[in-house]
Amino acid sequence: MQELFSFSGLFNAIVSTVFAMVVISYNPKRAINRLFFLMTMATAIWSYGYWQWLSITDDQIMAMFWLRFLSIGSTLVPIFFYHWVTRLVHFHFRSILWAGYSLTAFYCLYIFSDQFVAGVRPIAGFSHWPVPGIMYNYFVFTNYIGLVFGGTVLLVRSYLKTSGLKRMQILYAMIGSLLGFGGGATNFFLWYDINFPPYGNFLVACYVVAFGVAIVKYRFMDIRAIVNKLYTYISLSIFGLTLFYTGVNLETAFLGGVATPTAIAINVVAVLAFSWGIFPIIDIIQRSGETLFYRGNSPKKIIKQLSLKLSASIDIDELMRILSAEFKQILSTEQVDVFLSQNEPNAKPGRGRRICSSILNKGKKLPAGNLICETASNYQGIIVRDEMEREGHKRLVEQLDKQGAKVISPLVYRGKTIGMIMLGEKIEGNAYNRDDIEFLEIISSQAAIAIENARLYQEVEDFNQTLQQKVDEQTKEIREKAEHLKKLMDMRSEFLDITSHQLRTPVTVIKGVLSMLEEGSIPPAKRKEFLRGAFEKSIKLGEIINDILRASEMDSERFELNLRPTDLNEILKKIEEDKLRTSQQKNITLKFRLPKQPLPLIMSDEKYIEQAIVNLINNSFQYTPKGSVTVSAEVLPKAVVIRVADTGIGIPKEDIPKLYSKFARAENAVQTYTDGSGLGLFIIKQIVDATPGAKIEIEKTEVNKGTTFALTLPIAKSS
Amino acid sequence: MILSFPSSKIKLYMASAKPKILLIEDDDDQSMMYEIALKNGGFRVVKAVNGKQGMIMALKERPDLILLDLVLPDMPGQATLAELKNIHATKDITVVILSNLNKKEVIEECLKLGAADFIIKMQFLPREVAAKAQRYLKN
Repeated sequence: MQELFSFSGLFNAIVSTVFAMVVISYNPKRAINRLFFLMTMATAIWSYGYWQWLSITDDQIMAMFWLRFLSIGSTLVPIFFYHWVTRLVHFHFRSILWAGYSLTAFYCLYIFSDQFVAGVRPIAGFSHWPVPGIMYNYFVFTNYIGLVFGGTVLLVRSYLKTSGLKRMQILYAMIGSLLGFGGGATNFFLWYDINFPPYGNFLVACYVVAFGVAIVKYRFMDIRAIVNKLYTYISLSIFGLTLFYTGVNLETAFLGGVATPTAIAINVVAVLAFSWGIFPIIDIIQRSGETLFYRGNSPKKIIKQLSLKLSASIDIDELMRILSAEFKQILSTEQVDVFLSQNEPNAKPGRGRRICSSILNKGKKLPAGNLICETASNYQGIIVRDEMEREGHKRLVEQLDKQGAKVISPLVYRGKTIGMIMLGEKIEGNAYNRDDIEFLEIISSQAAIAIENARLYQEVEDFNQTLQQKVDEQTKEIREKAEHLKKLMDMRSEFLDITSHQLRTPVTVIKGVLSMLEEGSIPPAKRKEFLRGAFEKSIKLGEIINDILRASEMDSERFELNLRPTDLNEILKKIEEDKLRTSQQKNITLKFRLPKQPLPLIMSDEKYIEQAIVNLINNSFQYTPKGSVTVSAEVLPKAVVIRVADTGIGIPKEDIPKLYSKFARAENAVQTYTDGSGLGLFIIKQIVDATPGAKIEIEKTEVNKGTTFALTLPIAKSS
Repeated sequence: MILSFPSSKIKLYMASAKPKILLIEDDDDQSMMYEIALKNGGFRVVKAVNGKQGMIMALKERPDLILLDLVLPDMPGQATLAELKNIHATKDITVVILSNLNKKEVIEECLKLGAADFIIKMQFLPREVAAKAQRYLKN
């Protein structure tokens, strides 16, 4: 009995010393590490004394010595623990600490006196169990109960308030103190005559481990994982041992021992069978563990399923939905965001060039040069906020806190960071443990591939779409151009047909009349009439040639009018005289309805404005087979409006817009060949456009009823 | 008595049976010009200034030849031609198009409709037109 407990002392001493060294070497400058070192070394002293003390069965003096030696450790442990806790939870209430140290110093004075350990006696199988002195009672009350309890209260209070890594640290500290001090306290029972051996002493080592983990380790092992592993080992051991002892018992009972030839033969077969059968057994045990501790969803299984899901999707939104949903469920966090990083196209050299834009929250962006974005791109490993804080990356931590991010997992594809996963706090406020981080690492690499695939797919898709769109656009454009060109060609060919006809007609007459004159085949009485006809035709020819030349002149960019005050009265008079004859020939009534007062001077180019009015009248003649053409004038405050109204074929509504273009003819005018050039309205429009304040419009038109054109001309200011 | 029918009378009959040409032309100057030239060429000439009038004259006068312009104020010459070829009384009259429209499709259309020929006015003098008219009648 005594040897076993003695061994627990040795074990605790070794573990404590090792952990003390590990923690102090991890960062000797931090107060929390130093305090841990002191606390653990005190524990080591106590444990070493404990081992020595219980190794002695017959030397009372030495037992007393080692008992007093171990008391040095046990006296110091509570105050170091308390001090360490105040550091851990940032509790700055100095007076308790001072009181604690003072009391400890005070008790230390009594360690080697009988006031502390009054003596030793055999009890419950221990040969030299101590009898407490008066001071020991006080010590147990003030230090062991007071400081340890106080420290534990601080831990619990802090645990309830904090979150993340801190919370986990405190949890481990709590577990440690419960195991360590609870276990250590089992020693007190025998001191005070309660017959209960210090079984808890074996747990003291756990406290060291738990505390050490709380300080040194930052990615914690999930307790579930530890328990699961323990479950596997214990189950396997139980299975093996049961098998072994059953075999041994059976062989002893029936074969007279395990070393008989038959037994050995059976053993060989059994070992072979065991080696062959152990793997399925391990598998069964592991699976049952997973069922027990992970409700059947082991990390491995989850990762496998998630990987399958991720690789099956090529739609980026679908991927994001899967990722976000799985992260929320598996890592139990509400805040999941996935960012894709792109190079800022017009970044200044030397500054950050990456922009991270959120896929899940459309529109959310981290600007170029954002530290999180840059760190994720360059570091390419998982960034845990609490680790960064420990390592003193203040600015990064600030940025992370601003985003509410606890963990950043870069999405790395072929060495290139294509984005990152940002996770907020866990719902329970716990820190991300190692399983979580491992899970994240694996899923991030899977997600990176899936996202990159989706992105490539989308790019190809987009490219196809753009290409198709471009082809469509260009096809449309080409088709439109071709149609336009065809229309132009049609118009041009139409124009050429008409124009050539109109040019040939006067030439025919001139040529014919001249040839007949030469032949002398015109009766003398008719000679004069023939000559007049030929002469008129030559004038008409001149007009048409003029139209053609003027239209091509207007087509060029140099076309400009010579604007000056112009007298419309004379122009109209001249036109009336000229056109009356044509109207008689055509059997159309031409009426001029002008105001009695002379019209004011207008600002225009005399030559061109005459042509414009003549063209309007000619136009009316051309499309009026019978009836009348009426020219009227109206004086407005700033303009004179010349109206030419006919009773002709009219213009269909749909043809009005194209009317003023060169070679254009209304649908119903195509068949009506006339002796005009086909350029009349085009020329008028050009003249009007070049005259400021002038305009030409169709006031009314009705098919088969007639058309009224209104030509507005500005009054010259000087008049 | 019958045998002693005076040859001069026959001659007179023949003279009065000078071939008759219907000229459908809206332009006064041209109309006058061709009229004189055709008369000089030994034809009787009747005239019309549009398609409708031309139809009426063709039915009334039963000319031996019709010279038809295409650009007419009321209806295109093609329509007039089609009408002439459609009516039993006029369908056998030789119709020659006399126009300045020099467009392949129009020429083909007219020939298809039954025109005997297509004369581009500007390319022939009035006298040459009359000579052509004589040839059409001989054929």
